[in-house]
Amino acid sequence: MVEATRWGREVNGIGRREAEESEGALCGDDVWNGIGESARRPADAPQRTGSGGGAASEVTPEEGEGWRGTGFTRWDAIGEAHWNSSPGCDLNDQIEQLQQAVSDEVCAPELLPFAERLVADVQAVLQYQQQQLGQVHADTANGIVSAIGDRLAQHLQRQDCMRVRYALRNYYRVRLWKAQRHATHYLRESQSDPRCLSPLEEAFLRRYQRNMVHHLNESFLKHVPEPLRRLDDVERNQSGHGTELNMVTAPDLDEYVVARFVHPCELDLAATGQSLPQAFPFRQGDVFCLRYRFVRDALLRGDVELI
Amino acid sequence: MACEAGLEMIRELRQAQQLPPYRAESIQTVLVAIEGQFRAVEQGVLALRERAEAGQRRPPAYIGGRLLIQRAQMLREKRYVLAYLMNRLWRIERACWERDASLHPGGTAATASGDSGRTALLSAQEREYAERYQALLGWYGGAVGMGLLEELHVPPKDWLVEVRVRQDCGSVVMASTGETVRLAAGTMHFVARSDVELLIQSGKLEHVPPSRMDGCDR
Repeated sequence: MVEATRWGREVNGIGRREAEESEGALCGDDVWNGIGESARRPADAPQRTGSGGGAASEVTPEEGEGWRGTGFTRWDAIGEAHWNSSPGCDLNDQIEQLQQAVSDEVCAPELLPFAERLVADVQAVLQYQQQQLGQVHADTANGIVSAIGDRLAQHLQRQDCMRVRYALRNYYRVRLWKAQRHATHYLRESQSDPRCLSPLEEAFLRRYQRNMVHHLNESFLKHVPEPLRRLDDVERNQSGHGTELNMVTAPDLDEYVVARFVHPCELDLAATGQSLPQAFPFRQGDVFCLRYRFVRDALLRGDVELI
Repeated sequence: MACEAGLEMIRELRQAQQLPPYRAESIQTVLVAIEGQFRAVEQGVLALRERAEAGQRRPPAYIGGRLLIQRAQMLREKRYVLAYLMNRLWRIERACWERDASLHPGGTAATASGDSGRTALLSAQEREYAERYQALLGWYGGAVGMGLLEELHVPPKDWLVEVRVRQDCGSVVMASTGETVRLAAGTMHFVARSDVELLIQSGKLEHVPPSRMDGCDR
């Protein structure tokens, strides 16, 4: 079964949750909130049935009805087998996971382990949706004209694809930018921890490092005496006794981050220097600003999200 | 002192909003200084070793201290130049991401060398590095199945966008539909964003945002 993209999830998630929570009709605007600003125009607002989205589960989907109360089931899934299915299909939470992965990657000072399975699944869903849209486009080219509601559905589906693809593209980009800053450090880390980089990222970093070393050699290092041509010098006591200057820089784990605790957990904050217990309890929903070093393990376990 | 040349390069780079011209003569000055200091340190160490092997009295401490300072100065100047080169590389990489025409490989400013003797903005090695980096980005984008240079700053709002043509682009084939569209200067078109994003970023097309309807909540 092919799961819906995030847009489908939002429409159904909002409708279903609000249907469960209140007996009142779901406002059309609430439905459109999950779709996007471009859809929030009065002219494009869905035709509400008398009971609105709260009664979505009671409406039988009909071909060509488009938005009239069948929108929820329409948007449930992308595959043909589900065009006429009743509400209740699985929602794709992986899109939300992808967005959280992007947020974590942007906020964390170091490169987090590559979410291989998540990325592969999202790419598979995108590819399937692209095939569906391509089929629709081919049908249109062959003179098979779809109903107005279907065309609108395809347009929104295409928009949803576009936004998910943007999130995925952002994930790749942020990781590349972070990896480039400390290329040598991450290439060394990947020797001991293969999860750090994907195979493509590792290949990229090797070529990147090779280009950079070649450039520095050609511009400067080949003209200096032989003992000074290294790029991994460690100078000790140059800035005072006990100091160390390493040419291979590593990310600063003492940067402050804003962390939201998804699950209750305890963190060892004794190293902060404040009079805090060794196992400081955090409750679910707590939001704290603290050094990344202290939440690193909790982030990797999934107990913490960075915002 | 040679330290001043290295410091001057770093200061100029830090204060400049845009990438300044490549300072080949400053780097050469630092190279000459490093070479001189290295020879001095080498000779000093050799003299100390010979003195120790000959069983002579231990030399004053300041001699060893002077060698250490010279060595530290030499390494510092090496770091000056490397920091200068690395910072320029980072700016070149950012220009590659943003498709900055002034630094883009093949751009007129990148290879400018006027009659007045003004040095080129990028050195030959930097131009080569920019081309390799661009090729590397293209390779990675192809490997993951999506171009990484698209939609760099703003998340996509609409699949279809209205554009006004500023410069004549000729007939362009739209990848999404396969149609050929004549982009004449002054005309407006309603096309897929992904087909014309490169032209929008280069400034040949202007994105016309949709007009806000009265009473539309945002």
